[in-house]
Amino acid sequence: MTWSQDFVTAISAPEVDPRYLLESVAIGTFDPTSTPLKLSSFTAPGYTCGLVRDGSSVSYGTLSPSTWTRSYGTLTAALSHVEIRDRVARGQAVQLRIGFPGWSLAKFERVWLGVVRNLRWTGGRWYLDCTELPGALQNRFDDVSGQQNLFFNLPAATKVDGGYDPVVDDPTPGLPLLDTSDFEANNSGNYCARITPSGANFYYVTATGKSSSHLTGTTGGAFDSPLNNRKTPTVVSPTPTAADQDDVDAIAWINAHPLIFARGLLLATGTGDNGPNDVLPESWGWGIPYGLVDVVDIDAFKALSEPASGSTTWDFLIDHSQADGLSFVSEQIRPGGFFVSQHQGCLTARAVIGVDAVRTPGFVSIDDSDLMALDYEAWDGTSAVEYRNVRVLGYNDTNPSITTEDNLATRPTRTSHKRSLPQVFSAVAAGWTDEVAGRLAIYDQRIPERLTLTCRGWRVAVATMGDVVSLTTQYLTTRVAANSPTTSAFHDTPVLVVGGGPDWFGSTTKLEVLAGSLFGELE
Amino acid sequence: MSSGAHIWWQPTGASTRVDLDMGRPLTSIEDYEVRDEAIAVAFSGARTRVRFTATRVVDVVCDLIAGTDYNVVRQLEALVNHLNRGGLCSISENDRSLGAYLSLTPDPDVTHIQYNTNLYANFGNYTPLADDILVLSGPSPKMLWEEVAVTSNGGFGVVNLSAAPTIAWDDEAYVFIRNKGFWPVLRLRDGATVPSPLAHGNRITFSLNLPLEVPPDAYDALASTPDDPFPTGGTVDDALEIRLQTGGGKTTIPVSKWW
Repeated sequence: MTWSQDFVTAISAPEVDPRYLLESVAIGTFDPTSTPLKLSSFTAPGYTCGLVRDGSSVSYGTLSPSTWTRSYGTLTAALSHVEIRDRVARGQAVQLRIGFPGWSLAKFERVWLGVVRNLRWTGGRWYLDCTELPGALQNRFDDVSGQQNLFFNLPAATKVDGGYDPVVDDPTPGLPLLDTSDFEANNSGNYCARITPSGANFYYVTATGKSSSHLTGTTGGAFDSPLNNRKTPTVVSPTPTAADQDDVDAIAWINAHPLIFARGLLLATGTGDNGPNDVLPESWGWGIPYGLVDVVDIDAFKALSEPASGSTTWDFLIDHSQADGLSFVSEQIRPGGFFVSQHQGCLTARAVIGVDAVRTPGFVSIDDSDLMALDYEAWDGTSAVEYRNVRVLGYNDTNPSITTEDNLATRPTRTSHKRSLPQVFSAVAAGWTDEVAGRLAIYDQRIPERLTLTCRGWRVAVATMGDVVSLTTQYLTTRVAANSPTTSAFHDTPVLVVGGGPDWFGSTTKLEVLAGSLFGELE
Repeated sequence: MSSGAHIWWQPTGASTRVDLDMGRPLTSIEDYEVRDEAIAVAFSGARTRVRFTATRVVDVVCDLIAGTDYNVVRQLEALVNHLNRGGLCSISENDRSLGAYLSLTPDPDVTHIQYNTNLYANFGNYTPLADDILVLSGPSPKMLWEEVAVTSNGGFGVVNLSAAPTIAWDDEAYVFIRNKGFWPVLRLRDGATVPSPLAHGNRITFSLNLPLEVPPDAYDALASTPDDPFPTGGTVDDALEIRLQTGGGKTTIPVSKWW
């Protein structure tokens, strides 16, 4: 999925002669035009030579420290006098590929993936405005009305058909239902139902299969339920039963690491044909083609963000369709410092790394042979407050993982910052709360330094949001401690990339990075 | 045939090509390289240059007199109109018109080159002669460019040279060769400001001043195969324009190695 070594070598050379292809990409059944868009900056078979460098531009989003929300980038392609309104539609996916003289078109590498936002005629030229694909995942890529939302089959309600007692009916014969057709599961058959007995609080039942009349292989009272409500950790024992005609809701249940959860939704087609990670029902996800998702990158960040003990998964429980799929997924995984992004022209999902002794897939060493300019903030202006301690806790968790810093070094300050992991239930919380605290606490307890590194050429373009890179420069020293006059050289110093990228229509790469006194050493 | 400069073009929609013998040499024809590139220099002094496109600018000037050249002037007015509407033309300082793809990559150790069919055999003429200067060029933004001198015609598309080419052409998708002074594909330069490409003084003296350029992808689009000559009739310019716009040019690399 990552760029070929030939491509990396070519973009790292002192003399670079790029050629461009901008073309539509088929995703799902969203196919608004009969003619594919195929534009080039040079004469290429099957492509319209109409892509112009002058007026074309690319921008990148930024990841905000502490909240780990992010903005998204754009691409504007300037076109010569070519008519493409019959070949583009708003929301259509497009990709920018770059190659070099003598390369076959198949060897060109995708460097940017997005969707069309607009086509403008201004100043005697067409401009195609695009948004990067991670920021355009509000809807599924489906033509069928009513199937634009993630989990578009939800909510789905049915009734208990004759009564259910977990003590007696688990695991067989299971939960009898009037209708099981709306229950969907991953390819392992992990079903979930939510029962709301008349006059009582709801509780969850998981199952390993279904028939036309039952959920089978059931376990009543999953996920610490029954609960009086989602704020009161009172477990009712024994698990309540359900009477005939009690309300039941179909629940989409995904038990996975947060990055695998995101990967599953990105790839879901329900057929199993979209690569080895196509394991979720079609209605749950986007069905992005396997070749557009960097599963290797996702796996690498998963390995860097797994708890040392206990469960390595979260339990995502979804009971209704999501009109804004992008916001939904972001809000689900953001509490753990996870985010959806783009890496070397592919979609990916990544974790914010605590920098210490970690090398991410896009690791690159940057020094004064790369740097053209350095912009510096001693305290990152987007980080508002420094906290003395950080508390990370799961759902109904009464034992938060607490990370404490001895001294508060800046003002304003707050005493405590709480990070809640609502999909991590108390029974398995300890490993996850320690893991999240270990990665994220340093960004809450010390306001990091922020640098904008302007680098010559595209050599450092291999790094992108979420990567840890090494910085060595004799033109700047690092703040050793906040409010301290002591400084130290930037020498192989790890910094976290939170924004920026290559100017594919220019000759520089600009990276926004965070550095800090609590960051560790590279090994 | 006259030794005057020639200009060829095919008016949009016309079925035949205009072959204008100027009857006199051009007053001047100057060409130089123009690059669209961006250069970045690091603190250390290390430099990266990104080249996006490169082409040759060709400025053509010809002074004419009404009495002897009026028939030419009349046709030049049509040429200017054709160019102003985005048309293409070919210009030769004389009547020679070699424009072909090499069939073998030039080798720095070999003092001859071999080319495929002359795509412009129907324009002027070309038989290699001693002391002819030929221009080699490649399609990449590197704008590789080299002149070689002919010592004799080796026949069957082989031309013997006074010295072997010096540039390493191996990375180019193909190598195009033409007569020095023959420009197979030219168009008005984008952004060029010439109030009147064909100015006159009381319609007694005339001055043709054409700011032209080689479309960066022109040599890509000339032929669908290395041996694909332009038709003698038909809409040559129209076809070339379409190829320039749609990328309907070559699909294979026409050159091979000597070894």
